[in-house]
Amino acid sequence: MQRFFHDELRQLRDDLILMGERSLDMTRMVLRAVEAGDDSLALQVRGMDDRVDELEKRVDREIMRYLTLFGPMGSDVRLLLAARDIGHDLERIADEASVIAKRSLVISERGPLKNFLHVPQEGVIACEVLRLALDSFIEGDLDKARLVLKRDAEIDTLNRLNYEELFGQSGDNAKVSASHVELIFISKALERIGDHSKNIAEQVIFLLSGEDVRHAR
Amino acid sequence: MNPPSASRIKVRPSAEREGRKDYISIRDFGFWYGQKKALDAISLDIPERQVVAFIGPSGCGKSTLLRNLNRMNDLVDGIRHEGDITINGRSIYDPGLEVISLRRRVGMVFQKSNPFPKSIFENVVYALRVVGVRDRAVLEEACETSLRKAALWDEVKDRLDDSALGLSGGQMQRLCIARAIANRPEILLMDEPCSALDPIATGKIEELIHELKDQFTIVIVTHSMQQAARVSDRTAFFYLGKQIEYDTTEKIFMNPSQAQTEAYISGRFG
Amino acid sequence: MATNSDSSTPRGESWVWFTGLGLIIGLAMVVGLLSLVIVNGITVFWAPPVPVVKMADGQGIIGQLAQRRIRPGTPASDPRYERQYQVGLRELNGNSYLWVDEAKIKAEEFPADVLGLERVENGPAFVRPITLKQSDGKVLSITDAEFETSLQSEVAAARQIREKLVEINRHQVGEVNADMESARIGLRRAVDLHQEAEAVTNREIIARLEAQYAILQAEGRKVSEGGAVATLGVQDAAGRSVTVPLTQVIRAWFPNRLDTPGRVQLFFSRLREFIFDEPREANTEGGLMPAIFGTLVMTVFMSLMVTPFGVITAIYLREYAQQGAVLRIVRISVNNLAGVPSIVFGVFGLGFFVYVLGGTIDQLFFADQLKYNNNSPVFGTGGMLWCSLTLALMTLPVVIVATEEALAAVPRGMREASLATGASKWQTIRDILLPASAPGILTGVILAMARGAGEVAPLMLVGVVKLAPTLPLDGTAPFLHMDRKFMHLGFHVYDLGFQSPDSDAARPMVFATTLLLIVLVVCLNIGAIWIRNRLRARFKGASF
Repeated sequence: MQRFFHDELRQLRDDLILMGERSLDMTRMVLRAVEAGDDSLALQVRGMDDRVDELEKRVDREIMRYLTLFGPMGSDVRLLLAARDIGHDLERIADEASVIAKRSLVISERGPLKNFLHVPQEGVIACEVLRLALDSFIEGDLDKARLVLKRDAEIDTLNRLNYEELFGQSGDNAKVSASHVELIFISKALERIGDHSKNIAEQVIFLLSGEDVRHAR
Repeated sequence: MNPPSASRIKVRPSAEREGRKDYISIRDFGFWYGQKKALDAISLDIPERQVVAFIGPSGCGKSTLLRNLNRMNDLVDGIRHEGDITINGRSIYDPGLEVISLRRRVGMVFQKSNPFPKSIFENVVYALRVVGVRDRAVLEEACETSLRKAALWDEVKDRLDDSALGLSGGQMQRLCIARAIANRPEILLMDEPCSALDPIATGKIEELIHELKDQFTIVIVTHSMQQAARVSDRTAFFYLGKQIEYDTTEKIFMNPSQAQTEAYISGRFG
Repeated sequence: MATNSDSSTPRGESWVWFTGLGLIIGLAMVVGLLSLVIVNGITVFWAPPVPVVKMADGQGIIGQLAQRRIRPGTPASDPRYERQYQVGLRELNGNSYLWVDEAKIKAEEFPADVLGLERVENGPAFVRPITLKQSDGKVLSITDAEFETSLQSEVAAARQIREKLVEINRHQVGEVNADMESARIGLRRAVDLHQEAEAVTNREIIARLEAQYAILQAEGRKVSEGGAVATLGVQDAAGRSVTVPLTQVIRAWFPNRLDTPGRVQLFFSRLREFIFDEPREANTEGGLMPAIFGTLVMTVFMSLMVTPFGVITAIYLREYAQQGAVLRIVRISVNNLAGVPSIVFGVFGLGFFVYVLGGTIDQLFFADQLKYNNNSPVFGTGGMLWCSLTLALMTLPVVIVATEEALAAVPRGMREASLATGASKWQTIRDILLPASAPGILTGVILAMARGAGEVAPLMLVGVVKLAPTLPLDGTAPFLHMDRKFMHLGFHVYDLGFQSPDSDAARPMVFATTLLLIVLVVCLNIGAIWIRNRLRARFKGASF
């Protein structure tokens, strides 16, 4: 039997999904900004971060209200707990995107880069993985969630490659410019985005199966 | 009315009361059963078309206060009151006001459902007959409207002439609600309406309350805090005849101001 | 080792046997009483074979066996019996019943020509028929083959003549008499008030009525003369001859010729007469119709009066009266009223209803009647109205208590629900409380009816008589005569048992009347219970 307050749970899901889409948009946009050196795009991304923060606060309030007033049971409880963590992770992703935007602005001050290392590839995979994590939540798909856990390794690998490539050539190599260091920051941020996507996938697995797969390995 | 999803999720600030007038006003109301003081200096305002819940442990006076709103306590000997209760600006203790006409504007639903030993139809239209309506067509239309509003029409429309006592518990209570609203009162008082019902029936009645509050001001006394949290917009917590706290439901349950309230809702009472 | 606490019979089980015993004793008493009444009552209607009894000393009697008992004075070890035979022919024998010492009986024969007669006057007769003179003058002898069939057809013809005479004498003459009486009263009044025109009119009316009376009398004479032709010549056991006009014969049967279906038919015929006909011979014979009718009408009126009175009082006591000492006293008084001996109610009825109220009504409305009709009171004497009122008063506490209990048993929630809907107190009582307590109220009315229908003592003082010439409800306007005295089954039993000139003849009637009274009360109760069950089904959920 549908109760009138079940609408609020649906609204909560919708808000989370909205947050997720925003964070994904921000990540995609910021990667384009980096590759094209587009400052206005980077600034837009920074502005969007505020909106995601607002959404996080809203989601948290909704969760607390629902828990207090409507006494959820069963999978509704897992949804609320998972939602809290997913919200935090999405907010962190948005933050990271914002950080990438800031780095992009710094890079473009110095002039356009020619070598992006593996960052574009890493970015694509990060976006794919985030998309996968979001879809696993939206569609309730355990397989997609588990796939996210596997593919996160790819981002880690690319991040390491970025390091090795950049600092493998070091020594007194004047080719390591300040811009490249910014690139490493961006790589690190992308790797963190991947980790947050993994967290989201773990929460989804918990939501769907009740199984707590955190801190495996 | 506000569009469905947007505002329900916002924390309702007290500013939402803008645009609603206070329909029932209780001012410094005290009440005695003989020598025993049952209510002490109660002051609260109930806005129109909202659900207000009275909660508190047994004997705290919430039912007493509810029954004073339609002066059902007049039936008891030796009662006394001080202070005032006004509905829509007019005191209910105004000597020019007939108690009967007050009770026609304020419907009541009781804890134990009490349909009359008559047919379902006769039960629902009793309130109309009492005010003198005889026209069969009018009665039938009012009966259908009330039963639809009480979400009972589909279940009984083919057996309106059957005895009301043949219904299940939840149906009987919905019938009592239909009876209470048949004469279109402005206010609906509910004294623990679900305490004798199973969870499914309780759920149906809570849904009903949610729909009815578009048209009626509802005051509900309930033993179940969870029910108060689910259905009400504002909640008043009583203890030993005193009003401890009265605020929006969210405030009361998420972050009450009084320590007693906090103790009660977290189950640490007594 | 098994201890007492292991035994499978729970403690106190022996008390259950005691209560069962009490129930059985009670039931045995009821069954015993009913059997006694039924057995003794039914013999009134059954027609056994009738012997011709030859005594040792040569005497003989023809009679139906009525009783058999131990001869008073004989020792218990060697009892001698005597038998009572109903021989009839009171005009010859002085008494309908004879006791015969059993030891002196030589032989009993059951000849086929023994005839039993029920007669209008002088009681029954058991004789041997000799001749039959038919209404066309032809004479038949007992040896003729068609004697029996002719006899029965003559008896039927005679009945029709009797009924016609009743019609003329009772109904038509009765109407003339009633008109004449009011005309006479009018005449006296006119003379007294010097109203010449009135007086002349009344004298004319009286003259006209007297002429009518003469015509009716002549008619009656003609009919009865016509009926005097047919006669029956009979002989008793001693050889004495009697001529019986057939208009005197109500029923004739040959007791030794009847087969069992015939006897059963006779039984039901007598039963029908018992219930639907009027009494004869100082209530020792005939039917009980007026008594049944009177009892029914009185019970109905009593119920009609006590119900609204009792219900309204109970409503006031429970719903409207202020709780307090006065109310408690009133309630105690009402309850005590139920314990007052019924004869006291009779005295009260006589003193207050009959003399005070009845006298006042007479003075106000029937002054003419009193003045010009020898002061014969209308309502100032006993009658149906005062009887019903007296018994209503007597059974009032029963109804009040039952109604109060029924009202109190209505769940409080129903009352509250009604008031909360905005109904006034009276609307709540009328629409909710009274229908819901109707089964309980009806229980009270049933109890009241049962109590009232059986009371005799107060009725003797306020309006019941041994023989009433008219019914309280009949075809003459205003149809319902509440001022008339009436007959009552309970009083009938008393009258038959203790005030009858012929106690032997009365004895079987006492039992039959008692049986009828029991049946009547049971029927009333069953009717009321059926109504109550219907009400209960409609209001299922009521606690009564």
